[in-house]
Amino acid sequence: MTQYLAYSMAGMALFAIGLHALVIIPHILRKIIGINVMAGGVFLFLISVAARNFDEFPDPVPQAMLLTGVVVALSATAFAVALARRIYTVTGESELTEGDDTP
Amino acid sequence: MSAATSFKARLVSPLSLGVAAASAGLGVFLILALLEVPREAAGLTALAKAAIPESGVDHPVTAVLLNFRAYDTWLEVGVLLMAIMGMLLFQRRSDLRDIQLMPSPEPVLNWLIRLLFPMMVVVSGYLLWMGKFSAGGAFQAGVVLGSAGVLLWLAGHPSITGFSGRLFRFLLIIGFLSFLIASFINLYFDQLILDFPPVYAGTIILILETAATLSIAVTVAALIIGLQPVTRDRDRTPLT
Amino acid sequence: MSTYEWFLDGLIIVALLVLAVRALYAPDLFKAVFLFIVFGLLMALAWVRLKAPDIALAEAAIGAGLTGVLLLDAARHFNRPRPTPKSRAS
Repeated sequence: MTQYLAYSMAGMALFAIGLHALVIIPHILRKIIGINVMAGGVFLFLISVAARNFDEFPDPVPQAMLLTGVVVALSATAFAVALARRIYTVTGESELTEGDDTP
Repeated sequence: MSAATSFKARLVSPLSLGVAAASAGLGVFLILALLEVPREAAGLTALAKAAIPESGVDHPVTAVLLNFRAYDTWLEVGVLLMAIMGMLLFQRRSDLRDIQLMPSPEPVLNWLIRLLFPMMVVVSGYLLWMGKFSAGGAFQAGVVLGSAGVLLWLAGHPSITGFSGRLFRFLLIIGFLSFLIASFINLYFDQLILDFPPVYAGTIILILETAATLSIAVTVAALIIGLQPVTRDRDRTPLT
Repeated sequence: MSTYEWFLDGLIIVALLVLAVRALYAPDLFKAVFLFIVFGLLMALAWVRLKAPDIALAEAAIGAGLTGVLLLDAARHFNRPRPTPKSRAS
């Protein structure tokens, strides 16, 4: 499996893209999507490292970690969306701005 | 409100250019660091392969998940429980009985649900059973069963919102609880936590997985259905 | 054989990166969510390529169904005018 390195690099790039979006985009839902893209990058890295040079099967430990991780990421996203919707319902704000750089 | 234009303005401000440069720099740094990772390493594959005969299952990922690192899995199920508890807490409800859509009048949708729901339940059970031999197991089965629950609810059937509060909460904790009980029984007989004797390991794993599947399914479905505000009879609307 | 594999993997990787960028910076919220759902499904394909069928199964079920319901409903909620605060909100 020589392609694993390409997947790892893509994972790192996804992490950086997600981080940029998380910092720069004010909309809460897009921030949540950004966090999910970052998580996808980390998952991609771990699984591709597990896939390098296996004999019978890839390293099962990262795979087991990620199997729970994928489900936990979903529930964390659901919780974050619940909080975001609550913020919108109570304050009417759908964007997180810093206050001092908004006119 | 011109969200799009202010957003574009934000993207070209000096601060955001700095953020972009920093993110790109981090990405390049991470990729360079990646090249230092040894290219030829088997990780824990050999160790897992040697221990599989004692684990009670044939599939390495299930063996790691439910036997070698069962402690991790127990706490992950705990994380799911925390997520749904957090959501129910800040919404100040203890069950989902007051969230219910109107039954959909569309015949095609109803036909599709009648076809798909039993199929998804069967697939979920199959995945749970297959975890012993190949890809499959509690988490996949739980997610499929949870999707089936959400689908049923979207078509206006009660699904998990039809459960009484007591049953709903019992299903939420049953996964975590079964790991806890297994630990106590294990502690009583062997003075060890979650270190199953190879003779019983297969059975114990299947019981734990079944309980975890139910818990994961109800938790995942509740996390999505619970986002809806409380519906009163007068403003119930069918999904359009 | 190897060339085909490289081609497939390259395609998946490029598509993942493009979809991530498009999903994050799409002007329309619904479009962003749709692109993210496609991103999740493509991720499932990547798990299959990386010999992780367990995760592919979970990711496909999550990406195809649950994320869609979750995020699309949230996008609809954010696009609606703000509902009047409930009395218990205080």
